[in-house]
Amino acid sequence: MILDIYKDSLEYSAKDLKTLLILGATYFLSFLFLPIFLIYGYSYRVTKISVEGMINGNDPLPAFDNIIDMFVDGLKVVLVYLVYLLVPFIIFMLFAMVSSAIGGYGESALMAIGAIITVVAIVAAYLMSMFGVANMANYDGSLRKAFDYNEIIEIIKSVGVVRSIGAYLGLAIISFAIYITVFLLIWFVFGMFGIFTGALGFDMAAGGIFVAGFLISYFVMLFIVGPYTMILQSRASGLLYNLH
Amino acid sequence: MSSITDVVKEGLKYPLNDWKKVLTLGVIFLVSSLVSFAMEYLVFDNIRIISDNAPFDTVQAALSSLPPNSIALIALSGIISLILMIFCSGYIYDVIKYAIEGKSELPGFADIKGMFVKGIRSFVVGIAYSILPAILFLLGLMLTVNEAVSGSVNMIGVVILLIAIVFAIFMSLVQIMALCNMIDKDEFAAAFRFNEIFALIKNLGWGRFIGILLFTVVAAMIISIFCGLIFGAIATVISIIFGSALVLSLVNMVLDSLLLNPYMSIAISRIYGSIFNEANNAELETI
Repeated sequence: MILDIYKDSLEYSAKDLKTLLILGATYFLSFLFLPIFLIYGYSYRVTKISVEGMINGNDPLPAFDNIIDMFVDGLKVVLVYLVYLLVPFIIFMLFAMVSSAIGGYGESALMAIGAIITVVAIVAAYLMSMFGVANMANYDGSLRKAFDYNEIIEIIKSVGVVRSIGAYLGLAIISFAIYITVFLLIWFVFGMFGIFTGALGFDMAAGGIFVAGFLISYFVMLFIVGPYTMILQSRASGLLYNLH
Repeated sequence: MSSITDVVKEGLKYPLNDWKKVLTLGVIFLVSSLVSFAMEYLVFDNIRIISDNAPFDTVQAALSSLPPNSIALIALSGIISLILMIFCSGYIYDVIKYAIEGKSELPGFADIKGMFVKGIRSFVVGIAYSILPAILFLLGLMLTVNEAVSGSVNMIGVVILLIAIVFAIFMSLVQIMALCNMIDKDEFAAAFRFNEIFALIKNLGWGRFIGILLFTVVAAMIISIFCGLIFGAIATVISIIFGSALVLSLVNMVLDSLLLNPYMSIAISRIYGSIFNEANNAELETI
């Protein structure tokens, strides 16, 4: 089932190059602060379509229009993430404060326990926030449903806790692998060019090729790989939610 | 069950229905801010005159050292920008009214006298709601910075200051509902019928009310930052062409008050009106 989700998501994200480029442009403009929320709003739309659709259901990619709706949805998603992230952060700070008040060996021991608990809390918060956003999308964008933790925990249990964590871990590995592969590929091609040119004696030209390789890998990462993995993750989280 | 953030979406889209009216409001904002810009210039000049001739023995001596008509000019420009702001709040009054009535178009500018009267109404409500927190704040400030009294009194002043800040936030929340209630009932006294206002907020739920307002503020802040960055870039380019720093702040101000301020104030008032509607409809459902 999880492998089907991966397959569907990988295909789904590659559907439309134009959307990827538009999203990439949005990534590029995200130093203006507002486009960040547009990206999250788009990922919310993807999740919403996935929650309403099914695996291998041939769903369309959402359109990049209605910017104000997208902005407000993105703001909601960011809010959900931030609130859930706050929990492990507070736990960590509490442990840090208490243990530094104790001092001595007790400090290290308590902090070690605290660090383990924090890691567990981060995983839990990540899972909750992902399912929370999907739950929000399922209930027509009601923010209250994103924080209805009884319901969300029920849903995670029915999907399977280990299964969900495994699915997200796999997703992270896949995204990382895509990044590494694309990066190495581009560098391999340009590195070969550069070494050949350098071997022929054109040192400055080889430097130019390296710079070109750097620029191209940067833009490919920004405009294609980044948006691709973003859609991939949103799609997968929506489909995973649907397993309950 | 739909989401209350749809109210924010609708409010942010609403000014786009009729850009011309937004721009008309922007022109009023622009004139007002140009006048206050000129006023700041005058004030700055006069402060320089005073500081050149300092020290003075009395306030009268300081005032008499200024050129005779500059005080009058400052007062005049203050009055002009106040009157223009009253017109703007009259327009905002109409925007909230249209939102409560559920009309999708923007109100017009035809009824100038009516706009002025409505503006004065909301202006008075604003003053009435802010006067108590302001007095409390001043009292706290006076006790805090006073060196003639003992330290414990200073501490009381700090406590009063904190209370005043919380009270001011609370009052500004109530004021939004009060303004909407006044506009809905079309009656000035309705802004001060607290049991009615609190019943409305309770219908919506305090958490929901504060949450939606906070959400609106955050959204408005992000849009303002975005526009500020873009306008700043435009203004910087133009000021580099002209080679003058005054042009930078002038262009920034023109763009801000012509586009951003009217858009933001119309959108936020629309959201206020819709929030009032939500509260009102919730009341109907419970009956």
